[in-house]
Amino acid sequence: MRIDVHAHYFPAPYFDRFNRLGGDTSYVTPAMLGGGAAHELEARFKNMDAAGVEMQVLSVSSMFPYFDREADAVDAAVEANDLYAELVARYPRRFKAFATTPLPHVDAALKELERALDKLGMIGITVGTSVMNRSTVDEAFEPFYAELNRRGAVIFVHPVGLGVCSPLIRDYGLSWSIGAPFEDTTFVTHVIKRRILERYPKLKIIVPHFGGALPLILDRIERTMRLFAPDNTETATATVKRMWYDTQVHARPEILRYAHAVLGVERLVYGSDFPLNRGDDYVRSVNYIRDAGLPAGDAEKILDRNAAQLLGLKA
Amino acid sequence: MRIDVHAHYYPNTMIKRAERLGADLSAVRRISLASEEKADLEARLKMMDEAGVDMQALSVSSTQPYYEKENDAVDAARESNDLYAELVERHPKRFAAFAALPLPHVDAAMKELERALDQLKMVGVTIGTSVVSRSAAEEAFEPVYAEMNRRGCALFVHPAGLGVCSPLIRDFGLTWVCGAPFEDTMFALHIIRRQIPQRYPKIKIIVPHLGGAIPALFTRLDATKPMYAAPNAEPPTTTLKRLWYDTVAQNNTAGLKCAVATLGADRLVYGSDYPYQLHAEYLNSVKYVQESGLPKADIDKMLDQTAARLLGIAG
Repeated sequence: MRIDVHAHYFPAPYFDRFNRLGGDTSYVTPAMLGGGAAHELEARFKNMDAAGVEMQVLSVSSMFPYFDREADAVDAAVEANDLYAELVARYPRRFKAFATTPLPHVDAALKELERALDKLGMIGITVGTSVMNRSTVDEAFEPFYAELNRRGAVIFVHPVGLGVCSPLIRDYGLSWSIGAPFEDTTFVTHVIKRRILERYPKLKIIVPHFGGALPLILDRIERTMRLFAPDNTETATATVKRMWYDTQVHARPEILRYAHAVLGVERLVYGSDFPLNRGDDYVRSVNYIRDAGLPAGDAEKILDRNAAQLLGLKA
Repeated sequence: MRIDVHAHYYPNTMIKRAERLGADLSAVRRISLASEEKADLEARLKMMDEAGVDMQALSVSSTQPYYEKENDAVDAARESNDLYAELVERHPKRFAAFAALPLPHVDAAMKELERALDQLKMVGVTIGTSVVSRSAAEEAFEPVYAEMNRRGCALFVHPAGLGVCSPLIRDFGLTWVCGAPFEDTMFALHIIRRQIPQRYPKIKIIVPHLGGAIPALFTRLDATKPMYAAPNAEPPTTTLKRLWYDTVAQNNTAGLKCAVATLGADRLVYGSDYPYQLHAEYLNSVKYVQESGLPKADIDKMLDQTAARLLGIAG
């Protein structure tokens, strides 16, 4: 069953609210047809059918409701999740959704997490690579991860577009070119440092873009464990191999091949970043995996099996 | 002729001065066998012999003389360049050296550049991925690039060790874990933004660590170009192929292959990161390239040909 784990949905009411609250929506254009109007959904289904994608698991991209004012955060999260659940309810065989939560407000996040997973039937959670300028796995958020672990929940991570909070990246227009992959990689190192998966082994974490620079620097991370994670009882590689990684790298087969070599086929799940990649690029996001010369059967695992297994969905 | 373009030298006098000036020496304190002492030099030469390395081109790593007070910067730069030139003079067949410049003091940097290249006969310049918290590609530094271009000299870039000035990296002990490769990548993007390789094509720029994250982000950099580069600029991946990259990657064969596949074997030059890789690791910095499974012609270029040509050193 072909599932696209990295697909975004921009329903107008949430988009407008997010904008009003000062969030950045500049990278989303009307041409992306990412909203909920009939013609937009039609375009989305057309893309999915052309690529043989049976289902998209939708998420808010970087538009996380991480606001200082708890009321702002909660109202935004509730609206987003309601809108997503509504779409899923209308097309249950084509869509599932990752719920968003009003971090850094932990109690509110726990409440919304429960509502989204139990009442709205959402399939997992999406979190940012940071919560504003705080680590997503900050000590204050322990109860959040404890609950997600209790549930064995799936967590889809997404860059927040803050250039890993570096002025040398943000102020130079580099937040989405190099900033976002850096955010992916930094998130992984934080998970290692805070021993999140040693302590919460039932979490199923998906990191996009093969983890950014992760496969290139995994050996480096391993060699420098004593500098940032001296008390860990497992290697960096062992922790990395407890997570999953989506395949969205603008269809570059050399990158898929080396990521496959470092991470292993079991860790890879198909993702597209729809609708930022759409039309021919959407089809390419599938085909490049098939055409990359991977060992027999591996492309099929990545495209049609691993995500279904991870999410507990059957064909 | 096998030249190791990424090797550091920490003469005691230089380190003592840096300490007095309040530099962060954590990266220096955690290693050994890097000083001018007889036993250290003997050990270094022995490792070089075992690895078939004819020559190391030495640089100051992140201990750049980038002090706020011009006198401090100038004195530090002059001293380290003198100390390096002294070692080269004693062992001219085994060592060459990149000059450190007293940035951000541009006039002083121009003066020291002239002295280092003309009087001290140094083989090129080493620059940090940033000048403290300023981009190394800032407009203010143009005269230095213009002069390096006029001379056609080699420019060895090295992480500044500031974790791209991100608290999510610096405050989590990640400066030398993922911070350094991020800084390499950031530098490349900064010079692409300012079209430095196109405007100063005679500078031979060497970026360490396979370019940090560059191979992993290859097509992404072109896809996101409108966010950070001029509309009429060439594709960023074209500009990236005007630079060179050293092979320091903790023996990540898959990463090396990805770098060759994206950047080209012609753009890679052998480096070790001595003394951060010693003994067996130093030897492996050569062996992993030799045993990579890449074509012999590519291996020969990377290990034994390209660097000599770049640095203008005959075999």
